[in-house]
Amino acid sequence: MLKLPAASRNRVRYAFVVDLRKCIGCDTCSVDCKIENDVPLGVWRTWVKKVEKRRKDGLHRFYVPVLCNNCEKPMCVTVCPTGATYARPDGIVTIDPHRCIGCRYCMAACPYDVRYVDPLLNIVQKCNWCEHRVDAGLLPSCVEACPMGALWFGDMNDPQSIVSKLISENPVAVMKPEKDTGPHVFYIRADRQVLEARGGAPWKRE
Amino acid sequence: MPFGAFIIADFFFAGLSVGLYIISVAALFAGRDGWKPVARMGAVGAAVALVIALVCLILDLEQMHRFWYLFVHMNFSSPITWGSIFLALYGVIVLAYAFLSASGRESPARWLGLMGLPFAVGAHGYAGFVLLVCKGRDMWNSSAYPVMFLLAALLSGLAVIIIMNTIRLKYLTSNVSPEATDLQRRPLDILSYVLIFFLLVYLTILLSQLCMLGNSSEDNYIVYHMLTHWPWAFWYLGVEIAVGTGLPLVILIFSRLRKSFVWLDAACILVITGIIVMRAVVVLAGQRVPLH
Repeated sequence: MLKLPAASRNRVRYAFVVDLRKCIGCDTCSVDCKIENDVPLGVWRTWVKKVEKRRKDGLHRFYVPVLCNNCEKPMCVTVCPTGATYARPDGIVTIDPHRCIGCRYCMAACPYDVRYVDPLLNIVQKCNWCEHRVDAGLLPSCVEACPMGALWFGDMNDPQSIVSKLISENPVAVMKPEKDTGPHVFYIRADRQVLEARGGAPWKRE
Repeated sequence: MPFGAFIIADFFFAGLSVGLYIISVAALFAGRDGWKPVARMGAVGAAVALVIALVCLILDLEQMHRFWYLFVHMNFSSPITWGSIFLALYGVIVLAYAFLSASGRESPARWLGLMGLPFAVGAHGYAGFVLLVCKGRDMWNSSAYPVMFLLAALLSGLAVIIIMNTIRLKYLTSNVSPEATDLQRRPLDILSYVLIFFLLVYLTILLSQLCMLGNSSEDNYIVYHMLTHWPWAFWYLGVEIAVGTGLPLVILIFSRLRKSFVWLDAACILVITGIIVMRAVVVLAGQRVPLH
C-alpha cells in the first residue's frame, strides 16, 4: 500500500495511472493533446514509446505513453532561475509563460526529457495534465480520448478515487525511481526494461 | 539539445576571464617590474572575455529581452540565480579592476583585485554546479565539475597570458636591453611551471573521472562507453586528453622546448584547444545519452 506523507493526506494530489495491459499504441492521446493544447508542429507534450522484448514465446511489443510526471520533488522547479516553473498545491507542475526567459535549464535538468521549446512562443512548455480542463472539473484530454481506457487521472489522496484503487490493487512502477523525484505517473504492468530509457540503445546490442 | 554553442562559448570565455583575472591579481601581488605587463594584460583580457561571455549567455536565451528577470524573480535554489549574482558582481569588479590596472593605479587595483577573487571563483564555479545538479544527466551529475571548471579556467588563462607575453616579448620589445629582456622573461618561466603543475592536476582529475565512470553504476558505464567509443572517443580521449593535456605536458616538461617561444606557444595553443573541446564534450556529450 502506497503511503503518503502526513501533511499531504488531506489535500488533493493528482496522479496519472497508465495501464499498459490496455494500451494499443494508437497515439490518439498524443494527437488529442496536440489539438487540445495547440502544440506546434515538430514538438510533442506526450508520445507513445514502443518497446520490443524478446521472450521464449516470441516477440512482445509494449506501448508506453510518456508524459510529464509532475513530480513530487520536481527538478525543473528547483533549477528554474526565475521561478517561472512552479508546483501547484495539487501537485501539477506548470509554467508561467510571462516569466519564462527560455534558458532551457529546466529541459536539461528534467530526467524524463518531457519539456520542449515552443517554436511559436519561444518559451519552454510541457504537459501540465491539461490544468485548464482539470480546473474546470474535466479530465485531461488524453484520458478522455483514449479509446482503450488505458489512461486514468484523479486524486490519489482520495481512497475512493479510481487512481487510488488502481495504484493500491496493482503492481505499479514509475520511471527512474532512483532519481528520487517522486514521479506521479504510475504504470501498470511495466517492468524496468520497458520503462528504462535505453531499451534499444546501440551499446546494448554488442 | 537544451544547451548548445552559446553555452559552450559562455563556459569558455567566462572561464578564460576568471583565469586571466586570478593570474593578473597574483601578478600584481608579485609586485616586480617583470610582472606588471602580465597583470595589465590579464586585467584587460579578463574584462574583454567576460563581456563576450555575457553576450553569449544573453544570446542563448529564447527570450533575450527578459534577461533582467534573473535579478527580479530570483529562485535561490537555482544555481543560475547564484551565477547571475556572482557574474554581475564580478563583472562590476573586473571592469573597475581593468580600468585601475590599465591606468597604472596599482595599489587600489591590488586591493580591489583581492576582494574580487571570491566573486571570480563564484562567477565560474557556479557553471559546474549548474551541471552537477542535473541528476538526470549521468555525465554531469559529478562533484568533479566545479573544481574541473575552475582548473580549466586557470589553464586557459595561463595559456592565453603566456601567448600574449611571448608575442609582446618577441615583437613589441625589440629595442630593450638583454638584461631587461631577461627580467621580462622570468615571469614566463614561472607561468610555464605553474601551467605544468595545473596540467598535471587537471589530467589526474580527468583520468580519475573516467575511471569512476567505468567502474560505478550502469548509468555511468553508459557514459563511459560513449566517451571511449567513436565519435566521442576522438574528441574526449584524442583531442581533450591526449592532444589538449598530455601533449602540452610533454612539450613543457623538456626545458629546451619550454625555452623556445614557438614550442611554448604551440603547447599553449594545444591547451586552449583542449579546454574548448572539453567544454564542448561536457555540454554536448552530457546530453547525448537518451533519457526516455
